[in-house]
Amino acid sequence: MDTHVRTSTDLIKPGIDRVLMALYFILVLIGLFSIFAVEHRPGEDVWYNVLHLSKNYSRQLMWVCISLVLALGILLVDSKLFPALANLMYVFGILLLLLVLVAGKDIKGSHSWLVIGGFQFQPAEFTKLTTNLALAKYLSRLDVDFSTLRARLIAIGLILLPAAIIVMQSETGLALVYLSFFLVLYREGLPGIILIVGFSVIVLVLSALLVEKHILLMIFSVAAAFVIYFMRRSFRRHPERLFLILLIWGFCSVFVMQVVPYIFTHVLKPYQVSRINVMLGKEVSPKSSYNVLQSKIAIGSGGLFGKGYLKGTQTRYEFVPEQSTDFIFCTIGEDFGFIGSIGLLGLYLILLFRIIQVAERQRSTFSRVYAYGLASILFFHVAINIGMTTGLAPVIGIPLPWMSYGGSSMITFTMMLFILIRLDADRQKILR
Amino acid sequence: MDIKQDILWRVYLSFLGMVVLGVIILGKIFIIQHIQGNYWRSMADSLQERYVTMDAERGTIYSDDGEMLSTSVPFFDIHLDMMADGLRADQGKLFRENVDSLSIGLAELFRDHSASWYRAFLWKAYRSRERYLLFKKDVDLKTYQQLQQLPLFRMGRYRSGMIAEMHEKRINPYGLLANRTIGLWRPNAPNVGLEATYDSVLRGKDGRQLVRKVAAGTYAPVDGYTLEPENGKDIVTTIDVYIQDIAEQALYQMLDSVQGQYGTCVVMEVKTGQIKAIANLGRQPDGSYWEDYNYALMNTEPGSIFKLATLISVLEDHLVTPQTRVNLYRGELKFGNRTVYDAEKHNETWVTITRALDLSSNVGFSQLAYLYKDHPMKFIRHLQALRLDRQTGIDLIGEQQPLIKTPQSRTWSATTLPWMGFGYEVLVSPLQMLTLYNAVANDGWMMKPYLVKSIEEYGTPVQTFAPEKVEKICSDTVLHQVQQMLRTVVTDGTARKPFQGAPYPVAGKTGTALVADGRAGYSNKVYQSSFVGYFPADDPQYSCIVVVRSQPHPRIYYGADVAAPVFRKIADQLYALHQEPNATPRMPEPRVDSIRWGVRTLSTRARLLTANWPAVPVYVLDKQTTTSGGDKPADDQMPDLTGVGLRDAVRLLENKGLKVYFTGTGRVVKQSLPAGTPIRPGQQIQLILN
Repeated sequence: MDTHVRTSTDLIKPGIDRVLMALYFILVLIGLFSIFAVEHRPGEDVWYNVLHLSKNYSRQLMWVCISLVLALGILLVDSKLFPALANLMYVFGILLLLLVLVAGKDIKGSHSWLVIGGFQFQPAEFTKLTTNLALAKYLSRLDVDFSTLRARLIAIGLILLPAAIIVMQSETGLALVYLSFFLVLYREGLPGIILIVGFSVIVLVLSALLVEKHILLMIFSVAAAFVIYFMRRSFRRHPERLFLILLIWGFCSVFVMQVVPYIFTHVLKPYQVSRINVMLGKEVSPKSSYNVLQSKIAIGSGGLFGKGYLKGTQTRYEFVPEQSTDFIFCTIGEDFGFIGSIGLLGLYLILLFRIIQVAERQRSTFSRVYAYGLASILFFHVAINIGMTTGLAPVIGIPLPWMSYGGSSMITFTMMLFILIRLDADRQKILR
Repeated sequence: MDIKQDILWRVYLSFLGMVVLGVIILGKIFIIQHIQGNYWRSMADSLQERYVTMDAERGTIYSDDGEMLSTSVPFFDIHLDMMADGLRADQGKLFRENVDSLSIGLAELFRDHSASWYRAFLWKAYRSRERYLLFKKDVDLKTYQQLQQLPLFRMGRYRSGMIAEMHEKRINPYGLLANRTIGLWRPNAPNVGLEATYDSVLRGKDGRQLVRKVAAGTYAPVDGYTLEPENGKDIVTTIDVYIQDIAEQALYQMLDSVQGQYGTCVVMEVKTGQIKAIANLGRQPDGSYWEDYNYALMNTEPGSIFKLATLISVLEDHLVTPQTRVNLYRGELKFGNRTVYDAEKHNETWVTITRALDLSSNVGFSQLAYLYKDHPMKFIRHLQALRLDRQTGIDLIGEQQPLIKTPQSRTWSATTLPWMGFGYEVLVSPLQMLTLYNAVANDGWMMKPYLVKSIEEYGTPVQTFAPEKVEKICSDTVLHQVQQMLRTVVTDGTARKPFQGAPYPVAGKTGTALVADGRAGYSNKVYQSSFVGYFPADDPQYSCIVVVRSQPHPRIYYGADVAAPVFRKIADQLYALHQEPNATPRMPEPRVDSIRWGVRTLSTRARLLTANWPAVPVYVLDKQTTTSGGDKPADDQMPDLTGVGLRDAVRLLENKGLKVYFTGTGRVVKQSLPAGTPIRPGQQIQLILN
């Protein structure tokens, strides 16, 4: 221990990653101004609205302040605290999720909100943080060898448990976010074949949705027949290959013929089916395509340079539903055009790149896994959110980090980033 | 080393994946903004801006004495959106909690169904999940305001699902009074009367406004893209509600007692030609009477009242004098194979022409016309000079072309000329006959009849119509002769009985014509009784014609028995009014079938002001005749005029006897006398409009 008295600045300042901090503040500010642009009407008393929390932008400002207080707290605590508390917080998160199932409130068709003293809180956002911590904690344990099947299954279980509960809360979109943790597992040595298989399954699902299933069955059969024909010589030496091919053929067939229809009729909600169909171009439903249509109109009318700040009409005149939350990107698209969109996406990519850089310079597994988890989640959110505003992805209702209006998401993402910053600041000291 | 390389690969691959996805997203944005940019931009423009029509307010038709004869009032259609968010939330908690009290409220308000009926209705509607279920049509303003106070409904559209749509409806506050002449305006329906004649004035011009969407369901006007609607102008008619009521009442009572087919009665102001009253009552299949046609403008064979024209003609040509004797042949005279009969049996032979008129002898007047047997066109030219072959030119659509035959006509026969002498073989309207008699009353000057004296905008006249002299109908000598003769008809002739004891002198002529009744022709014995004249004969103020068409084979049908008493009744009441010009005329009681105007002196659009008089209905649809005294507002209170248009404000205040000064245009923003302060006639008030 040094002899001189450590002040709080001393505590925070050394090793703080300025790039991450700067990107964070830029994004938060852009978010605040975007929400302001959505809601502000000429002639309104901005300060009155800010002081009385009467507008989303003023409430968002409040959430930013609360987040910053929490961030400061995170920077002040010892970084050893996070791995120490990881499992406890994970359990706490799961309990919260279960509590929601019992005492939650229905808001906009999802049963995922807790209402505490007038404030709505979505634990499904918060558990992204706890799951990330727990995953990092588990993978950093010295007795865990991730090359074993057991370790892999436990890690996957850690991810899928909260996701499963969240699906039960009718927040499928947020549950899908947890799939992004597989990127972490890939980094930590999960065989690429699993991702390939996963990707194949997605392709299978899409083709099952897009192509008539009997035609698919014929295609699979012909393909299998061809493969068997060309590999017929090797079967004598490797009879298991024939078995494998038949197994794949059987799996694909059953999957396309039975599993996908079952999921569509029994697991997914009608609105989700409809949204997926709209995204695939199979269905033109005014209701579920309305959001995307309006969003496209907003972005499309922005042009190359945009209409200028506070000049967008589509976003400000409430054409786009969920304007301040899920579709906040439209504001950028309309007011700042293609240039603004490139800028914003660029900021997010720089952030992701920086987080991966930071991750790779960690000496502790915990910090690295945690950083990758954060990067994956951010990436998923950004890609899907902007994807859905532009009609690339189905509208599953997940926020754009630090931009979308909402306290739960703002606090969660801020805490996640600042925990990383705190861990990174101490990277020299810790080797876990 | 291998592991490190592997990890590095994985890291690069991951980030590459991110970048690739980012590029794909950017590509998509590029496609939306540039390749499809114009498409989305045009979509955006069409979405956020559109033109809305701003309906021009239709002008009001006022009577000469400032009453509203036809005006527009707001009515509301109520629809229910049973899928309103608030209504359905929490398994319809709001609906369940309020449906009972709402049902009770509805039952009390409308009084047409029981509360349990309403409850059943609402539950059925709730289960039907309808988004736009028609609940009530044409709810008036007062009821609508009360409806808004009911449980659930008071929570507004998005929670209760109650949707109210306003539409203006044209109403005639006085119902039957001059209804056919005023007309009742309905969109997309053929209209009649002044509503149709002055439609272009009343209608105004719809405006257009470019609006831009500012919020869900809310549009704000765009500056500089407004074409203000030009509100319809008001028209002030010459019709006097008081006289109209007298005329309509008198006519109705006679029609009702003789069960006539129809009757018409027109009162004209002698010196101006203004129509003060025009009543048209036709018998309906159920035995009631309604203003169904404008009989005053309908051509018929006038009968004996036409004898005035014959008389003027022969006197002007100096063929006879009033003292010239004519043989009445005891009431029967053959022309070829047709016989002229006098309507009333008598034994007269040689009498003066004055006496022949008193007796209304067809025989006598057929001979007078027959004086022109060698030059029939000379007689026809006299009739043309009396304007009997032309429409009067009254400002009312529907006037028919009269028919005066000439020797060139295909139907001209040997008996046409003598029959024309006593009013057959010609087709003229009661209004034309009245115009002629009015000219006699007006020192020989024929006045053009008219119904609208001014067109007003915001209480100030923009166009006034002055009385129009058409021409002088005859020389003064002849005029005095016929005036004298029309006078003796009442003192000594056919009209003696009905005018016995009248405190004022009357001049006029009865008519009893057997008229063709459709296919049955003359055999059905349908009579047209008429009386036309003017009073007081020494200083004529009003001229008036009464025509009553009987049922087939009527019990009484003489002009003196049917039409003249109606004239007498009208004249008596007008004379009484004339004698005491300061006496407040008794205003007509609203009829059983009329829309009663609770606050008579209020402009309809003063509905905005009812807030100050909570207990007073502006108008009530009422099938019961009640006295109007009970629900009049305290007249001495200053209303709150904020937001009221100038036109209505001025009307309202001037009706209350105030002198109004104003600055600015548009709607009232400030008033010098605060709302609720007592006011008295003659007081001054300053209005500031913006």
